Amino acid sequence: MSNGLRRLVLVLVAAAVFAPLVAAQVSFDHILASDKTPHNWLTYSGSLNGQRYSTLTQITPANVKDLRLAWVLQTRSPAEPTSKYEATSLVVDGVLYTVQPPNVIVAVDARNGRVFWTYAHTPAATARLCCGRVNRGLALLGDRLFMGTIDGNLIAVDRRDGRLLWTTPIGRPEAGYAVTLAPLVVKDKVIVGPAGGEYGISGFIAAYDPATGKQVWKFNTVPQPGEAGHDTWAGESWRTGGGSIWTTGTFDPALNLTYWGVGNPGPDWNGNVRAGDNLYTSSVVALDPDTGQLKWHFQFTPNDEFDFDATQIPVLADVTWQGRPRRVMLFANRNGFFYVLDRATGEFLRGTPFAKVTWTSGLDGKGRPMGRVDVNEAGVVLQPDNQGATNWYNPSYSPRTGLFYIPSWLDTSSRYFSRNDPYIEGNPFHGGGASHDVPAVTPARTNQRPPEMGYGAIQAMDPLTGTIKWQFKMTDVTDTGVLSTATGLVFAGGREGYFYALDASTGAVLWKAMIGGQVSAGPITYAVEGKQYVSIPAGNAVFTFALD
Amino acid sequence: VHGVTPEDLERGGTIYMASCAACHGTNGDALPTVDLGAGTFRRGSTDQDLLNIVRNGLPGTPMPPSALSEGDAARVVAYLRSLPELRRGPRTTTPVGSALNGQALFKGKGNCLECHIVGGVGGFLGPNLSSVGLTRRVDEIERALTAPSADIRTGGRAAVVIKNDGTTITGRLLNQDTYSLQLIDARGTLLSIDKSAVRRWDIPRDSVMPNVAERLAPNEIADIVSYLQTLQAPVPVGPGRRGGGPGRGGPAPGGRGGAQLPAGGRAGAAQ
Repeated sequence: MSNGLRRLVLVLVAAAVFAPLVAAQVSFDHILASDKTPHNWLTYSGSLNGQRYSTLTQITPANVKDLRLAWVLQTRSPAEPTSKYEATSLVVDGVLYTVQPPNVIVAVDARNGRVFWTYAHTPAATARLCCGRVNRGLALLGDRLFMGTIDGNLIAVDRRDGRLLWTTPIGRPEAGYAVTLAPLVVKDKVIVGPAGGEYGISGFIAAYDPATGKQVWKFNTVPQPGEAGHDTWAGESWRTGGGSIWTTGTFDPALNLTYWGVGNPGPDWNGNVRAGDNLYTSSVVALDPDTGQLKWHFQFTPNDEFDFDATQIPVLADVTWQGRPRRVMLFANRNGFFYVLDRATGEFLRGTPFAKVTWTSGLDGKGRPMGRVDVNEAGVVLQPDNQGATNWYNPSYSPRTGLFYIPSWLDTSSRYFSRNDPYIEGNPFHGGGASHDVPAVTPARTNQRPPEMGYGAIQAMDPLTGTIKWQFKMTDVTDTGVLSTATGLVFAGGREGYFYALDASTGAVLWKAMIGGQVSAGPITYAVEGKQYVSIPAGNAVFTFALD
Repeated sequence: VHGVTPEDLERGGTIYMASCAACHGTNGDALPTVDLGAGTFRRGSTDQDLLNIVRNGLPGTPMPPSALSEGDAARVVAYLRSLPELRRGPRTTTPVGSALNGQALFKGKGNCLECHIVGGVGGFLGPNLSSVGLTRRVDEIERALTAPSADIRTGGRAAVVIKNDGTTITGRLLNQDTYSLQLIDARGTLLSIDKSAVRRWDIPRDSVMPNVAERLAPNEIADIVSYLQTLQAPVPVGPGRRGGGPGRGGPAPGGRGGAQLPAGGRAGAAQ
């Protein structure tokens, strides 16, 4: 490097060091064009299409082995100790925002983890969640961050100083309503829905004004009297029908549609007391983001008796489908099938199992399961297990490889049984249960299971053929999200405490780090001052890596 | 909970199955760090403590509050108090033997101490049996002796490793991941083995425990069952269990939990 060049670099570095980290407001146009600013991670899925694909190129298959720990952000009070740190971080111009469980927002310098501010929401003692006091992350627009709370609120804080701006209750915590997902901003609205499918809630997706928190529209995922689909619920069963929303939707600006996966019907394991298909539970719905009007729906598991929430990310990809360009949705479902849908119309294009499936004999030409096994009081052992062949763990689609990467649970099974449970507001409303060889929610610190109880994998699905191109097997299962990059890397983790990089084309392990805690969140990548970072929560902390 | 009627217990059990079993399991021991049927509780001791937890949950933990009435919550507590007795269950096939003879057989002809610890003496390959009379029903003990592969509990499984030089290591499986196995051998040596550095490794489907019916007569087995029933050392359920240990199979090697965290911990936040 010449002296002149060295001076120039020093000047640039100095400018960067003293540049204000929080820059201009983030408009929705910025979010729409997030592929133009890959140094930021502006939405839960990195982009509105849900792909979790980054075009940053500094970290490559050749140098990934040199990734080193850059910084760690430890959880401390008032955040709660957890084994499931599920939040995907956001990054805007050098500031990283994360949510420590249950509802503590922390803003840090994305280069070194130094904390700028903390905002702690103290949840009401009435908050009740089936499966842990978790949060999956934030949305942002302008200078505001939006967070759902486990006691049923949507809140906005100023992203410069963590000041609370407004709080909007969206559901009663004492009846089981909680917000665990990262909200989705579409244009001038913040869209969320409530968790609570194990408490007999009545689910919905609703949009709120980012400025005031006022509700703009509401779509009932369990149709109320007079609404289309209400007749798919026998008797009064719609009143406790579930249809929770607990993972973030996606958005197609060209079609002006927002897509959301809908949770299980209530009670979970007894379909007899709610005869009918139980729309729109265990389905994906396509809504007009301006009005909340339903444009189409596709139900994966009608009259679901297995707790097969369709709360996976509807990933949007543009592919050449049987010789012509097609806007499709890629959906790896908890029920064990990988679906390709036309996302303009909801037309079923293909469904293929990506795990062993015994609850149905297969899908018909329209994607509806055939010969479904009925759950009974004696119990019936079926695959996949109750936690599913996948779940809310974020998949990733790489336009570079054309592969769809699925965090999978393979060879697991459950004994599913039904029971007649009365509905009591605020108590679990299960209608039965399922056995778990593999702990669903609270894993032990050690794994002493025999191999025949199942294993975890990252699977590379070729969506054009419905075949698995490669599989990276782990001894334990995984709750990880997946990140793919333009240089041909796939980042993921698992319950064993490893965070690792795979070759996106072959699945070969190129790098791994033992970070000592369960990975239950999605990795992100971003850049500050020309340096690319990869960041992942695990256990009770956020770990961030970069090249030396 | 005083004056508990059979109807109370039945209703408590029904509520337990509907509201609690999804996380805690039908036997109360599904969560890796919580065993509701152990007879003692980490987060409280009095019925009122437990009733408050059932109603209000444990803030800061996954345990949510419920909408149960005080009466129903008390019935659930009564049911939980009855779990240890339910677990011990009725004697099934084996006649009542002599615990004294059983003790002698256990140490002598049965050669059980080679692999099992009782009261701090014995081998590490099999589960520690010091509390087996509390944690296993009689029929389970019988079956473990006569059909050891029928129901291998978590924590009771062996791993067999064949090294590159052909020698074999057999140990109790403590932990494993994609790249390695953690074992304890019969002498209590902790081993961590890279899967890539051995010829072969296996977690056998069958137990490495010999079928005692091949070396002991039925009346001798009955004696040993009677002896094992008397082994009722308090199960360690201190806050240290939260940190891990070997899961449900038995006490941790070299440490019996209970002392890793200050007593009380977050339990004080329950109310």
